[in-house]
Amino acid sequence: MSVARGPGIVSVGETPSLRHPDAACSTAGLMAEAIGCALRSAGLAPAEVDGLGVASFTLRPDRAIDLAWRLGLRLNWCMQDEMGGASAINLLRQAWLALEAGQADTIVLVSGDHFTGADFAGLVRGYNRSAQDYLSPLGCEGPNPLFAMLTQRQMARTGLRREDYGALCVAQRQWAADNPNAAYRQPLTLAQYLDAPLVAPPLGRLDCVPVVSGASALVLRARPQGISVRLIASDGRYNADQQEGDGLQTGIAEFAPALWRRAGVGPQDMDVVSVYDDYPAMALAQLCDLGFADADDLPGFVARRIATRSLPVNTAGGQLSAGQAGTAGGMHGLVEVSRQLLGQAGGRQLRGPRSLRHGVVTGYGMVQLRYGMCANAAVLAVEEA
Amino acid sequence: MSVNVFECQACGHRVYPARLWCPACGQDQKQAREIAVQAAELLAWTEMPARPGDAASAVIATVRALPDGPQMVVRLDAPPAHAGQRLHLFARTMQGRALPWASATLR
Repeated sequence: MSVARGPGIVSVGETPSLRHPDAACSTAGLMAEAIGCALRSAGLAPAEVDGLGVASFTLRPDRAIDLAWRLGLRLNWCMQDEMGGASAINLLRQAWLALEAGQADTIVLVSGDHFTGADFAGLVRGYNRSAQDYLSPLGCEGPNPLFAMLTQRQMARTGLRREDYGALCVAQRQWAADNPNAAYRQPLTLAQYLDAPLVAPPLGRLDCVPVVSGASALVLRARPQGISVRLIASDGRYNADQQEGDGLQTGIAEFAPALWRRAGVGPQDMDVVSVYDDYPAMALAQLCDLGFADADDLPGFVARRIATRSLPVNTAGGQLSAGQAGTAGGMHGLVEVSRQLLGQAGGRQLRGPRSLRHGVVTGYGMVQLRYGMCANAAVLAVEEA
Repeated sequence: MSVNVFECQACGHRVYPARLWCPACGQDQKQAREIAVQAAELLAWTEMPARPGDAASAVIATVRALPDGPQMVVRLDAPPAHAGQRLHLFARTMQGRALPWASATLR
Protein backbone atom coordinates (compact mmCIF):
# COMPACT_ATOMS: atom_id res chain seq x y z
CA MET A 1 0.00 0.00 0.00
CA SER A 2 1.33 3.40 -0.92
CA VAL A 3 1.01 6.57 1.09
CA ALA A 4 -2.46 8.09 0.79
CA ARG A 5 -2.63 11.56 -0.66
CA GLY A 6 -5.92 13.30 -0.98
CA PRO A 7 -9.32 12.26 0.31
CA GLY A 8 -10.48 8.83 1.42
CA ILE A 9 -13.57 6.95 2.54
CA VAL A 10 -12.85 6.13 6.18
CA SER A 11 -15.99 4.32 7.34
CA VAL A 12 -19.45 3.08 6.43
CA GLY A 13 -22.73 2.50 8.23
CA GLU A 14 -25.95 0.78 7.29
CA THR A 15 -29.25 -0.02 8.97
CA PRO A 16 -30.90 -3.41 8.65
CA SER A 17 -33.17 -3.65 5.57
CA LEU A 18 -36.62 -3.62 7.13
CA ARG A 19 -39.37 -5.47 5.28
CA HIS A 20 -41.99 -4.58 7.90
CA PRO A 21 -40.76 -1.56 9.87
CA ASP A 22 -42.68 -0.53 12.97
CA ALA A 23 -44.90 2.54 13.12
CA ALA A 24 -42.16 4.69 14.68
CA CYS A 25 -39.84 4.17 11.68
CA SER A 26 -39.05 7.29 9.61
CA THR A 27 -36.71 8.17 6.76
CA ALA A 28 -34.82 10.73 8.87
CA GLY A 29 -34.59 8.29 11.77
CA LEU A 30 -33.09 5.60 9.54
CA MET A 31 -30.61 8.09 8.09
CA ALA A 32 -29.59 9.19 11.59
CA GLU A 33 -28.99 5.55 12.52
CA ALA A 34 -26.80 4.89 9.45
CA ILE A 35 -24.81 8.13 9.94
CA GLY A 36 -24.37 7.42 13.65
CA CYS A 37 -23.07 3.96 12.88
CA ALA A 38 -20.57 5.30 10.29
CA LEU A 39 -19.33 8.09 12.61
CA ARG A 40 -18.86 5.71 15.54
CA SER A 41 -16.94 3.35 13.28
CA ALA A 42 -14.60 6.22 12.31
CA GLY A 43 -14.30 7.44 15.91
CA LEU A 44 -15.69 10.84 14.90
CA ALA A 45 -18.05 13.15 16.78
CA PRO A 46 -20.95 14.87 14.97
CA ALA A 47 -19.23 18.23 15.59
CA GLU A 48 -16.38 17.11 13.30
CA VAL A 49 -18.69 16.74 10.29
CA ASP A 50 -18.69 19.79 8.01
CA GLY A 51 -20.24 18.34 4.86
CA LEU A 52 -23.46 16.45 4.17
CA GLY A 53 -24.76 14.89 0.94
CA VAL A 54 -28.23 13.34 0.93
CA ALA A 55 -30.25 11.21 -1.47
CA SER A 56 -33.85 10.25 -0.71
CA PHE A 57 -37.30 9.96 -2.26
CA THR A 58 -39.20 10.03 1.03
CA LEU A 59 -37.45 12.64 3.17
CA ARG A 60 -39.87 15.28 1.88
CA PRO A 61 -41.08 17.78 2.85
CA ASP A 62 -37.65 17.97 4.51
CA ARG A 63 -34.49 18.38 2.47
CA ALA A 64 -30.79 17.85 3.15
CA ILE A 65 -30.48 21.06 5.13
CA ASP A 66 -33.52 20.19 7.27
CA LEU A 67 -31.88 16.86 8.08
CA ALA A 68 -28.69 18.73 9.00
CA TRP A 69 -30.70 20.89 11.39
CA ARG A 70 -32.43 17.92 12.96
CA LEU A 71 -29.02 16.28 13.50
CA GLY A 72 -27.43 19.51 14.76
CA LEU A 73 -24.76 19.51 12.05
CA ARG A 74 -23.06 22.83 11.21
CA LEU A 75 -21.87 22.56 7.62
CA ASN A 76 -19.62 24.18 5.04
CA TRP A 77 -20.93 21.92 2.27
CA CYS A 78 -24.43 20.55 1.75
CA MET A 79 -25.93 18.84 -1.29
CA GLN A 80 -28.93 16.81 -2.32
CA ASP A 81 -29.25 14.41 -5.23
CA GLU A 82 -32.42 12.83 -6.59
CA MET A 83 -31.03 10.42 -9.17
CA GLY A 84 -32.12 7.20 -7.48
CA GLY A 85 -29.79 4.32 -8.27
CA ALA A 86 -27.18 6.70 -9.68
CA SER A 87 -27.26 9.14 -6.74
CA ALA A 88 -24.62 7.49 -4.54
CA ILE A 89 -21.79 7.62 -7.07
CA ASN A 90 -22.97 11.05 -8.20
CA LEU A 91 -22.67 12.30 -4.61
CA LEU A 92 -19.34 10.52 -4.15
CA ARG A 93 -17.87 12.27 -7.19
CA GLN A 94 -19.07 15.68 -6.01
CA ALA A 95 -17.88 15.09 -2.44
CA TRP A 96 -14.46 14.06 -3.72
CA LEU A 97 -14.09 17.31 -5.66
CA ALA A 98 -15.22 19.30 -2.63
CA LEU A 99 -12.68 17.61 -0.36
CA GLU A 100 -9.88 18.09 -2.88
CA ALA A 101 -10.84 21.75 -3.25
CA GLY A 102 -10.78 22.33 0.50
CA GLN A 103 -14.49 23.13 0.69
CA ALA A 104 -14.95 20.62 3.50
CA ASP A 105 -12.86 18.36 5.72
CA THR A 106 -15.28 15.60 6.76
CA ILE A 107 -18.25 14.76 4.57
CA VAL A 108 -21.05 12.33 5.37
CA LEU A 109 -23.00 10.89 2.44
CA VAL A 110 -26.31 9.27 3.29
CA SER A 111 -29.11 7.65 1.32
CA GLY A 112 -32.28 6.33 2.83
CA ASP A 113 -35.95 5.72 2.34
CA HIS A 114 -38.86 4.49 4.39
CA PHE A 115 -41.79 3.06 2.48
CA THR A 116 -45.21 1.88 3.35
CA GLY A 117 -46.95 -0.09 0.58
CA ALA A 118 -48.94 2.95 -0.51
CA ASP A 119 -45.82 5.18 -0.58
CA PHE A 120 -44.06 2.87 -2.99
CA ALA A 121 -47.04 2.46 -5.35
CA GLY A 122 -47.45 6.24 -5.39
CA LEU A 123 -43.74 6.79 -6.03
CA VAL A 124 -43.63 4.56 -9.10
CA ARG A 125 -47.01 5.65 -10.48
CA GLY A 126 -45.93 9.30 -10.50
CA TYR A 127 -42.16 8.71 -10.81
CA ASN A 128 -41.82 11.41 -13.47
CA ARG A 129 -44.04 13.14 -16.02
CA SER A 130 -43.84 10.27 -18.51
CA ALA A 131 -44.90 7.73 -15.87
CA GLN A 132 -47.64 9.97 -14.53
CA ASP A 133 -49.18 11.13 -17.81
CA TYR A 134 -48.47 8.27 -20.18
CA LEU A 135 -47.15 4.93 -18.92
CA SER A 136 -49.18 4.53 -15.72
CA PRO A 137 -52.53 5.49 -17.30
CA LEU A 138 -51.70 3.06 -20.12
CA GLY A 139 -51.44 0.23 -17.56
CA CYS A 140 -47.63 0.08 -17.71
CA GLU A 141 -47.11 0.82 -14.04
CA GLY A 142 -43.73 0.79 -12.32
CA PRO A 143 -40.48 -0.62 -13.65
CA ASN A 144 -41.48 -4.33 -13.86
CA PRO A 145 -43.13 -4.31 -17.32
CA LEU A 146 -40.30 -2.24 -18.85
CA PHE A 147 -37.57 -4.49 -17.47
CA ALA A 148 -39.60 -7.58 -18.41
CA MET A 149 -39.40 -6.41 -22.03
CA LEU A 150 -35.66 -5.65 -21.72
CA THR A 151 -35.11 -9.10 -20.22
CA GLN A 152 -37.07 -10.72 -23.06
CA ARG A 153 -34.88 -8.91 -25.61
CA GLN A 154 -31.68 -9.79 -23.71
CA MET A 155 -32.73 -13.47 -23.69
CA ALA A 156 -33.40 -13.39 -27.43
CA ARG A 157 -30.08 -11.71 -28.16
CA THR A 158 -27.75 -13.63 -25.82
CA GLY A 159 -29.35 -17.03 -25.30
CA LEU A 160 -29.72 -16.42 -21.56
CA ARG A 161 -32.52 -18.55 -20.04
CA ARG A 162 -34.55 -18.06 -16.90
CA GLU A 163 -32.28 -20.66 -15.25
CA ASP A 164 -29.29 -18.34 -15.80
CA TYR A 165 -30.99 -15.37 -14.15
CA GLY A 166 -32.00 -17.79 -11.41
CA ALA A 167 -28.38 -18.84 -10.91
CA LEU A 168 -27.45 -15.19 -10.31
CA CYS A 169 -30.28 -14.80 -7.78
CA VAL A 170 -29.27 -18.02 -5.99
CA ALA A 171 -25.61 -16.88 -5.81
CA GLN A 172 -26.57 -13.49 -4.41
CA ARG A 173 -28.71 -15.20 -1.78
CA GLN A 174 -25.65 -17.24 -0.80
CA TRP A 175 -23.73 -14.00 -0.29
CA ALA A 176 -26.64 -12.58 1.74
CA ALA A 177 -26.45 -15.46 4.22
CA ASP A 178 -23.52 -13.69 5.91
CA ASN A 179 -25.10 -10.22 5.88
CA PRO A 180 -27.09 -9.76 9.09
CA ASN A 181 -28.74 -6.64 7.62
CA ALA A 182 -30.15 -8.44 4.55
CA ALA A 183 -33.92 -8.78 4.17
CA TYR A 184 -33.59 -12.37 2.88
CA ARG A 185 -30.83 -14.69 4.10
CA GLN A 186 -32.30 -18.19 3.97
CA PRO A 187 -30.94 -20.35 1.12
CA LEU A 188 -32.75 -20.07 -2.21
CA THR A 189 -32.94 -22.96 -4.66
CA LEU A 190 -33.22 -22.70 -8.42
CA ALA A 191 -36.51 -24.60 -8.19
CA GLN A 192 -37.90 -21.97 -5.79
CA TYR A 193 -36.79 -19.24 -8.19
CA LEU A 194 -38.43 -20.93 -11.17
CA ASP A 195 -41.62 -21.73 -9.23
CA ALA A 196 -42.15 -18.17 -7.97
CA PRO A 197 -45.19 -16.52 -9.57
CA LEU A 198 -44.57 -14.55 -12.75
CA VAL A 199 -45.13 -10.84 -12.18
CA ALA A 200 -44.55 -9.72 -15.78
CA PRO A 201 -43.26 -12.55 -18.01
CA PRO A 202 -40.43 -13.43 -18.25
CA LEU A 203 -39.89 -11.79 -14.85
CA GLY A 204 -40.83 -13.80 -11.80
CA ARG A 205 -41.22 -12.46 -8.30
CA LEU A 206 -37.60 -13.29 -7.42
CA ASP A 207 -36.27 -11.22 -10.33
CA CYS A 208 -37.70 -8.18 -8.54
CA VAL A 209 -36.02 -6.46 -5.62
CA PRO A 210 -37.90 -6.59 -2.33
CA VAL A 211 -38.93 -3.08 -1.29
CA VAL A 212 -37.53 -2.33 2.16
CA SER A 213 -36.93 0.61 4.46
CA GLY A 214 -33.34 1.40 5.35
CA ALA A 215 -30.40 3.77 5.06
CA SER A 216 -26.72 3.63 4.08
CA ALA A 217 -23.94 6.10 4.90
CA LEU A 218 -20.27 6.78 4.17
CA VAL A 219 -17.78 9.09 5.88
CA LEU A 220 -15.13 10.77 3.73
CA ARG A 221 -12.20 12.83 4.99
CA ALA A 222 -9.90 15.22 3.17
CA ARG A 223 -6.77 13.90 4.90
CA PRO A 224 -7.56 10.45 6.29
CA GLN A 225 -5.34 8.78 8.88
CA GLY A 226 -4.80 5.04 8.73
CA ILE A 227 -6.65 2.84 6.27
CA SER A 228 -8.99 4.48 3.76
CA VAL A 229 -10.54 3.86 0.38
CA ARG A 230 -9.64 6.15 -2.49
CA LEU A 231 -11.62 6.95 -5.61
CA ILE A 232 -9.07 6.31 -8.36
CA ALA A 233 -11.37 6.81 -11.36
CA SER A 234 -15.03 7.46 -12.04
CA ASP A 235 -17.35 8.44 -14.84
CA GLY A 236 -21.03 8.79 -15.60
CA ARG A 237 -23.45 9.07 -18.50
CA TYR A 238 -26.81 10.75 -18.14
CA ASN A 239 -29.39 10.48 -20.94
CA ALA A 240 -26.63 9.08 -23.13
CA ASP A 241 -28.92 7.67 -25.84
CA GLN A 242 -32.04 9.85 -25.48
CA GLN A 243 -34.07 6.66 -24.74
CA GLU A 244 -33.76 5.79 -28.42
CA GLY A 245 -31.58 2.68 -28.10
CA ASP A 246 -32.49 -0.85 -27.04
CA GLY A 247 -31.53 -0.38 -23.38
CA LEU A 248 -29.46 -3.58 -23.36
CA GLN A 249 -26.27 -1.60 -22.88
CA THR A 250 -25.95 1.11 -20.26
CA GLY A 251 -23.93 4.31 -20.59
CA ILE A 252 -21.11 2.46 -18.80
CA ALA A 253 -20.19 0.70 -22.06
CA GLU A 254 -19.27 4.07 -23.56
CA PHE A 255 -16.84 5.08 -20.82
CA ALA A 256 -15.51 1.75 -19.47
CA PRO A 257 -12.32 1.53 -21.59
CA ALA A 258 -11.27 5.07 -20.64
CA LEU A 259 -12.28 4.49 -17.00
CA TRP A 260 -9.97 1.49 -16.70
CA ARG A 261 -7.18 3.38 -18.51
CA ARG A 262 -7.42 6.25 -16.03
CA ALA A 263 -7.59 3.86 -13.08
CA GLY A 264 -4.46 2.04 -14.26
CA VAL A 265 -6.12 -1.28 -13.45
CA GLY A 266 -8.63 -3.48 -15.28
CA PRO A 267 -11.52 -5.82 -14.56
CA GLN A 268 -9.06 -8.64 -13.89
CA ASP A 269 -7.58 -6.65 -10.99
CA MET A 270 -10.87 -6.21 -9.10
CA ASP A 271 -11.04 -8.03 -5.76
CA VAL A 272 -14.67 -7.08 -5.17
CA VAL A 273 -17.44 -5.88 -7.49
CA SER A 274 -20.84 -4.32 -7.05
CA VAL A 275 -23.21 -3.79 -9.96
CA TYR A 276 -26.61 -2.16 -9.61
CA ASP A 277 -28.98 -5.11 -9.54
CA ASP A 278 -32.48 -3.73 -9.89
CA TYR A 279 -33.06 -6.79 -12.12
CA PRO A 280 -30.73 -9.70 -12.97
CA ALA A 281 -30.69 -8.65 -16.64
CA MET A 282 -29.33 -5.22 -15.73
CA ALA A 283 -26.67 -6.68 -13.41
CA LEU A 284 -25.45 -8.83 -16.30
CA ALA A 285 -25.66 -5.91 -18.76
CA GLN A 286 -23.40 -3.83 -16.50
CA LEU A 287 -20.91 -6.70 -16.03
CA CYS A 288 -20.72 -6.82 -19.85
CA ASP A 289 -20.40 -3.05 -20.14
CA LEU A 290 -17.53 -3.04 -17.61
CA GLY A 291 -15.68 -5.78 -19.49
CA PHE A 292 -16.10 -8.64 -16.98
CA ALA A 293 -18.23 -10.63 -19.39
CA ASP A 294 -18.38 -11.09 -23.13
CA ALA A 295 -21.81 -10.32 -24.56
CA ASP A 296 -21.44 -13.36 -26.83
CA ASP A 297 -21.07 -15.78 -23.91
CA LEU A 298 -23.26 -14.56 -21.08
CA PRO A 299 -24.67 -18.01 -20.21
CA GLY A 300 -21.10 -19.34 -19.92
CA PHE A 301 -20.07 -16.34 -17.83
CA VAL A 302 -22.96 -16.93 -15.41
CA ALA A 303 -22.04 -20.61 -15.08
CA ARG A 304 -18.28 -20.04 -14.64
CA ARG A 305 -18.04 -16.84 -12.63
CA ILE A 306 -21.40 -15.97 -11.03
CA ALA A 307 -22.96 -19.30 -10.02
CA THR A 308 -19.62 -20.45 -8.60
CA ARG A 309 -19.13 -17.06 -6.88
CA SER A 310 -15.55 -17.06 -8.20
CA LEU A 311 -16.15 -13.43 -9.17
CA PRO A 312 -17.22 -11.69 -5.95
CA VAL A 313 -20.22 -9.66 -7.18
CA ASN A 314 -22.75 -8.06 -4.83
CA THR A 315 -21.21 -9.72 -1.80
CA ALA A 316 -23.80 -8.50 0.71
CA GLY A 317 -26.57 -10.10 -1.35
CA GLY A 318 -27.23 -7.09 -3.55
CA GLN A 319 -30.61 -5.50 -3.70
CA LEU A 320 -32.14 -8.77 -4.90
CA SER A 321 -31.55 -10.34 -1.48
CA ALA A 322 -30.56 -7.51 0.87
CA GLY A 323 -33.49 -5.38 -0.37
CA GLN A 324 -33.93 -2.06 -2.13
CA ALA A 325 -34.39 0.77 0.33
CA GLY A 326 -35.20 3.35 -2.36
CA THR A 327 -32.18 5.54 -3.00
CA ALA A 328 -30.22 3.57 -0.38
CA GLY A 329 -30.27 0.75 -2.91
CA GLY A 330 -27.83 2.85 -4.91
CA MET A 331 -25.52 3.38 -1.93
CA HIS A 332 -25.70 -0.20 -0.70
CA GLY A 333 -23.11 -1.39 -3.25
CA LEU A 334 -20.74 1.51 -2.54
CA VAL A 335 -20.99 0.77 1.18
CA GLU A 336 -20.35 -2.95 0.66
CA VAL A 337 -17.29 -2.53 -1.59
CA SER A 338 -15.87 0.12 0.79
CA ARG A 339 -16.57 -2.16 3.75
CA GLN A 340 -14.78 -5.08 2.09
CA LEU A 341 -11.79 -2.89 1.16
CA LEU A 342 -11.63 -1.48 4.71
CA GLY A 343 -11.63 -5.05 6.03
CA GLN A 344 -14.83 -4.49 8.02
CA ALA A 345 -17.18 -7.02 6.40
CA GLY A 346 -17.26 -9.42 9.36
CA GLY A 347 -18.42 -12.93 8.51
CA ARG A 348 -18.52 -12.20 4.78
CA GLN A 349 -15.09 -10.55 4.58
CA LEU A 350 -13.37 -11.76 1.42
CA ARG A 351 -9.98 -13.21 2.33
CA GLY A 352 -8.14 -11.74 5.29
CA PRO A 353 -8.56 -8.09 6.25
CA ARG A 354 -6.28 -5.76 4.29
CA SER A 355 -5.60 -8.34 1.59
CA LEU A 356 -7.98 -6.72 -0.89
CA ARG A 357 -6.76 -3.86 -3.03
CA HIS A 358 -9.31 -2.82 -5.63
CA GLY A 359 -13.04 -2.73 -6.17
CA VAL A 360 -15.53 -1.32 -8.64
CA VAL A 361 -19.08 -0.09 -8.05
CA THR A 362 -21.77 0.92 -10.53
CA GLY A 363 -24.96 2.93 -10.27
CA TYR A 364 -27.90 2.81 -12.65
CA GLY A 365 -31.36 4.22 -12.64
CA MET A 366 -33.99 6.85 -13.29
CA VAL A 367 -36.30 5.08 -15.69
CA GLN A 368 -37.74 7.40 -18.31
CA LEU A 369 -39.81 6.02 -21.17
CA ARG A 370 -38.20 2.60 -21.48
CA TYR A 371 -35.14 2.13 -19.23
CA GLY A 372 -32.73 3.88 -16.91
CA MET A 373 -31.24 7.17 -18.08
CA CYS A 374 -28.33 7.30 -15.65
CA ALA A 375 -25.30 5.04 -15.29
CA ASN A 376 -22.06 5.66 -13.46
CA ALA A 377 -19.13 3.77 -12.00
CA ALA A 378 -16.37 4.26 -9.47
CA VAL A 379 -13.08 2.35 -9.22
CA LEU A 380 -11.82 2.25 -5.64
CA ALA A 381 -8.48 1.31 -4.08
CA VAL A 382 -7.50 0.78 -0.47
CA GLU A 383 -4.58 2.77 0.90
CA GLU A 384 -2.96 3.37 4.25
CA ALA A 385 -1.52 6.71 5.33
CA MET B 1 -56.72 3.97 -37.12
CA SER B 2 -53.52 5.75 -36.16
CA VAL B 3 -51.48 7.32 -33.39
CA ASN B 4 -50.11 10.85 -33.63
CA VAL B 5 -46.35 11.17 -33.12
CA PHE B 6 -44.27 14.34 -33.26
CA GLU B 7 -41.92 15.20 -36.13
CA CYS B 8 -39.23 17.88 -35.98
CA GLN B 9 -39.80 20.51 -38.67
CA ALA B 10 -36.05 21.06 -39.02
CA CYS B 11 -34.67 17.51 -39.32
CA GLY B 12 -37.67 15.19 -39.57
CA HIS B 13 -36.78 13.20 -36.41
CA ARG B 14 -39.85 11.61 -34.80
CA VAL B 15 -40.57 11.21 -31.08
CA TYR B 16 -43.36 10.10 -28.78
CA PRO B 17 -44.35 11.62 -26.46
CA ALA B 18 -43.52 15.21 -27.43
CA ARG B 19 -40.31 16.79 -26.14
CA LEU B 20 -39.31 20.40 -25.66
CA TRP B 21 -36.32 20.27 -28.03
CA CYS B 22 -35.51 17.77 -30.75
CA PRO B 23 -33.10 15.11 -29.40
CA ALA B 24 -31.52 14.80 -32.85
CA CYS B 25 -30.93 18.42 -33.85
CA GLY B 26 -31.80 20.59 -30.85
CA GLN B 27 -34.56 22.53 -32.59
CA ASP B 28 -37.30 23.95 -30.36
CA GLN B 29 -40.33 21.69 -30.77
CA LYS B 30 -43.17 24.20 -30.24
CA GLN B 31 -43.77 23.89 -33.98
CA ALA B 32 -43.40 20.08 -34.19
CA ARG B 33 -45.67 18.49 -36.81
CA GLU B 34 -48.15 15.90 -35.61
CA ILE B 35 -47.92 12.90 -37.92
CA ALA B 36 -50.45 10.07 -37.94
CA VAL B 37 -48.69 6.69 -38.00
CA GLN B 38 -50.65 3.53 -38.71
CA ALA B 39 -48.24 0.60 -38.51
CA ALA B 40 -45.59 -0.68 -36.14
CA GLU B 41 -43.21 -3.61 -35.68
CA LEU B 42 -43.34 -5.54 -32.42
CA LEU B 43 -40.02 -5.56 -30.51
CA ALA B 44 -40.99 -6.98 -27.09
CA TRP B 45 -44.03 -7.53 -24.91
CA THR B 46 -45.16 -8.58 -21.44
CA GLU B 47 -48.34 -9.01 -19.52
CA MET B 48 -49.33 -7.28 -16.28
CA PRO B 49 -51.68 -9.28 -14.10
CA ALA B 50 -55.18 -7.86 -13.76
CA ARG B 51 -55.58 -5.51 -10.81
CA PRO B 52 -58.67 -5.54 -8.64
CA GLY B 53 -61.44 -4.01 -10.74
CA ASP B 54 -59.71 -4.74 -14.07
CA ALA B 55 -61.49 -7.06 -16.48
CA ALA B 56 -58.29 -8.60 -17.86
CA SER B 57 -54.51 -8.44 -17.69
CA ALA B 58 -52.78 -5.59 -19.53
CA VAL B 59 -50.58 -6.62 -22.46
CA ILE B 60 -47.79 -4.06 -22.80
CA ALA B 61 -45.46 -3.89 -25.80
CA THR B 62 -42.46 -2.01 -27.14
CA VAL B 63 -42.90 -1.28 -30.84
CA ARG B 64 -41.16 0.66 -33.58
CA ALA B 65 -43.52 2.82 -35.56
CA LEU B 66 -43.11 2.28 -39.30
CA PRO B 67 -41.43 3.46 -41.36
CA ASP B 68 -39.40 6.05 -39.40
CA GLY B 69 -40.01 5.41 -35.71
CA PRO B 70 -40.15 6.30 -32.94
CA GLN B 71 -39.89 3.33 -30.62
CA MET B 72 -42.77 3.52 -28.18
CA VAL B 73 -44.47 1.64 -25.37
CA VAL B 74 -48.06 0.76 -26.27
CA ARG B 75 -50.92 -1.33 -24.94
CA LEU B 76 -52.03 -4.34 -26.99
CA ASP B 77 -55.62 -5.55 -27.24
CA ALA B 78 -54.48 -9.20 -27.09
CA PRO B 79 -51.27 -11.18 -26.57
CA PRO B 80 -49.13 -11.12 -29.75
CA ALA B 81 -47.66 -14.08 -31.64
CA HIS B 82 -43.98 -13.23 -32.06
CA ALA B 83 -41.38 -10.45 -32.11
CA GLY B 84 -41.14 -8.77 -35.49
CA GLN B 85 -44.83 -9.08 -36.26
CA ARG B 86 -46.66 -6.16 -37.88
CA LEU B 87 -49.21 -4.31 -35.73
CA HIS B 88 -51.84 -1.66 -36.40
CA LEU B 89 -51.66 1.42 -34.17
CA PHE B 90 -54.71 3.19 -32.78
CA ALA B 91 -55.44 5.72 -30.04
CA ARG B 92 -57.74 5.03 -27.13
CA THR B 93 -58.79 7.54 -24.51
CA MET B 94 -57.85 6.39 -21.02
CA GLN B 95 -58.18 8.56 -17.93
CA GLY B 96 -58.92 11.49 -20.22
CA ARG B 97 -55.79 11.05 -22.38
CA ALA B 98 -55.44 9.68 -25.91
CA LEU B 99 -52.90 6.88 -25.46
CA PRO B 100 -51.22 4.55 -27.99
CA TRP B 101 -52.60 1.04 -28.49
CA ALA B 102 -51.84 -1.59 -31.11
CA SER B 103 -53.56 -4.65 -32.49
CA ALA B 104 -52.57 -7.56 -34.71
CA THR B 105 -55.85 -7.17 -36.56
CA LEU B 106 -57.25 -4.16 -38.35
CA ARG B 107 -60.00 -2.80 -36.17
